[in-house]
Amino acid sequence: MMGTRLRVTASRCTGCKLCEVVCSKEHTGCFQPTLSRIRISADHSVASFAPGVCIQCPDAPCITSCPTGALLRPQGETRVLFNRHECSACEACASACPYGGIFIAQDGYLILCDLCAGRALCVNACPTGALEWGE
Amino acid sequence: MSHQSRILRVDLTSRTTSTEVLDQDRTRLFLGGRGINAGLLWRQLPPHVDPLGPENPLIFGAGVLGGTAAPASGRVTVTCKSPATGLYLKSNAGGEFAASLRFAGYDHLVVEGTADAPVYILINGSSVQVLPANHLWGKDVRETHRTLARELSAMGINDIDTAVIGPAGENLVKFASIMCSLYSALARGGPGAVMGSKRLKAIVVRGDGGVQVARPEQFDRLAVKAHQVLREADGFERYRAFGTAGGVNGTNALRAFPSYNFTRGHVDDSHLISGQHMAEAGYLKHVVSCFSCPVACHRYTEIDHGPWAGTYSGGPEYETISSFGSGCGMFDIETVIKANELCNILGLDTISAGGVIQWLIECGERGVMSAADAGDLELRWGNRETVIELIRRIAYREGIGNILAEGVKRAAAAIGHDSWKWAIEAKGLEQSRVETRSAKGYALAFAVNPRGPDHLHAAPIGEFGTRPGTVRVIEKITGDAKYANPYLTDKRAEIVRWHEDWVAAFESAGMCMIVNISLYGLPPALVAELFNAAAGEDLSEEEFLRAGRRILTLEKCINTREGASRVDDTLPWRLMHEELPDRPGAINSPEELNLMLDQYYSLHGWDVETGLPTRSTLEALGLHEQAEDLARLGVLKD
Repeated sequence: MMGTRLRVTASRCTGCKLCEVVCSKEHTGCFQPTLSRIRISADHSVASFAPGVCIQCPDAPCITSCPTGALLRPQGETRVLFNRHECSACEACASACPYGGIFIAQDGYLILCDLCAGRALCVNACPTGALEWGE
Repeated sequence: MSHQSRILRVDLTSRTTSTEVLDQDRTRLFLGGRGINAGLLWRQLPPHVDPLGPENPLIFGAGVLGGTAAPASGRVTVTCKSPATGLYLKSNAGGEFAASLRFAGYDHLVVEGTADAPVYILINGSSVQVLPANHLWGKDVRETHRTLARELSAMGINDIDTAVIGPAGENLVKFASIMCSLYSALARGGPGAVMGSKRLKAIVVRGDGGVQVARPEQFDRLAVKAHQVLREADGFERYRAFGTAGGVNGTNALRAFPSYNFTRGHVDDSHLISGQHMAEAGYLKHVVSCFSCPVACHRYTEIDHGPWAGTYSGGPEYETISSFGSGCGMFDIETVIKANELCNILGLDTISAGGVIQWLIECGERGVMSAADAGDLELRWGNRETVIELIRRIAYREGIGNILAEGVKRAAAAIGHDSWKWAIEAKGLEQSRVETRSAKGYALAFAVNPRGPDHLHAAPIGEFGTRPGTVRVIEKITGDAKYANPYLTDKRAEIVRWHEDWVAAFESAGMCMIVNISLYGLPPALVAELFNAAAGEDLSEEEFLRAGRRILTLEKCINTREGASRVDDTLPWRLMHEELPDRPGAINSPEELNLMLDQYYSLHGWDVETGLPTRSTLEALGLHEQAEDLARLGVLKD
């Protein structure tokens, strides 16, 4: 099942983090949450679980915040695409994103969901429907 | 390319660290996690040492599935000598600790020696430090984790996982726990006291390392398949909806629900302390998962009104409900939730804590102890304030708490008045919450469990026959579905042995009992394939289960070396000599238990008279080192 935007329902998240390991495995070949395009902010002591991921929002403040044009959304595309060559590693986009969906990697550049070229493995991996196709 | 386990050693006496890489044959023979932990303990634990002394190592282990997308694969095992029993101990928990250990680049952590002041271990990938913890000593588990998270975040170290002891571990309570979160406890047998004796307040772990598997594409396909198969398991939705607490009413219906210190197996009000009631009455606020688990069997509960308003924590589980609820004659879910929260934050095993408290209440009901003896606490079934206050006094060893903190066996010896007759323990461990007079497979499993009478060695849940899937398992093992009957003693040896092998195997791979036993959700063949794809091995299903057999036989050898034998494979006196009033003839008589033990030892190829492994059995399993050592001790028969 494929779609064009992610929908996150945080109240359904149980903190299993299958999304994190499946995502990192798909993009890097190994299981490592810090390489994932989706990160769960968790406070187990109060059972608070908040998935942070790009939901391909219409406004895309990340794009407007970018001083170098490294983030762009071509016509007909719902995903925000990242052009590493243009990136100045200023991290403005990470601050601008209201959904906590942009992460800064160890090398200073950003990690951003590309929906696994439309397959969004996290949606399939999520056991509770916290991650779904939005449309 | 077969997996070679990476061991991180931290010596607290010298405050030095080192790493070691094991031969790949250790993976093939002992799988990982619990299995390799046992091998490390065999080599490193001299017999007859003080469990609270520097020579007792505290060994943590993840499985080769830890940190991967395989379902429910991030379990951690801690292995040491138990301060409660003086015997082999493995304790297992969920949470994220094992996964983080693997992300840090390690499969096992061995903590040795004793620090001369409170410390914590900080594992941040390859950077490992032993740091002062004076400012943490005395804090409860919740406060300790929050303090560490805050301090380390200020230094740019985020997303930590911790294993923490509370005041109970600091005070060397014999059933103190190591908390891997407020949901996941390494508790039975008192590993928290071992950690406290080392003045080790916490272990912090995180890592940026990628966990790799040997055959990535095959692994991914198998992991997806495992999730699909598991999703269809009979009972999956119920475990998410109600947790282990959902089993209260069913167990009660079978007359297997321990109540009033194991004087009754059935009560009228079990529903009031069930998982269903917790959900219906609004105490359950969220269901929670361990790392990589789709079930979400953990509970998060809150109390916002009444005498315990402001309570919030993970749990309670079925065991805790029976321990503080029915066991203490207290059918008030709020007090059970409060008791559970206290045990979580003070760092106490709920099964033993409730077990010793209900023993004390029975002492009061019998007139052997008075309220004054207990420090102005009414010792009556169902007294809520007594239960809550006793938990606190145990953790801080105050007054009567100092005696209770030694566990029910030592407490009964201290109090006298024949109170050992209602101390529901064997091997020095309080019995888990199954009324074995109504569950004969559990009776055998409890008697032979190396760490004492508890359900996490070979939980033969299929014998209850409550779901078609569980009946099928019994039919597969014994050849006939009619043996899915907990009141029968027939075929219990076969049933227990199958469960022992299976649990040892999947647990050593890092997987959870809820998925593989409570739900019987994954076939052993599939788990073996997952293991193989991760570890770069090619074990058949039979070889995988045989590795489980090898592991539990090694555990038996460790106990043999400590001096345990058939006489220790027993059940609490009450269950063997007093009939359960709820069912005619319900008893774990010595004759009945002995018959099952004879059959069990024979199946294992062990000496029936002593219950000890034989040379031929050890050699056949490749346990040559163990055979030599036991022969030198003069305890080995051929």
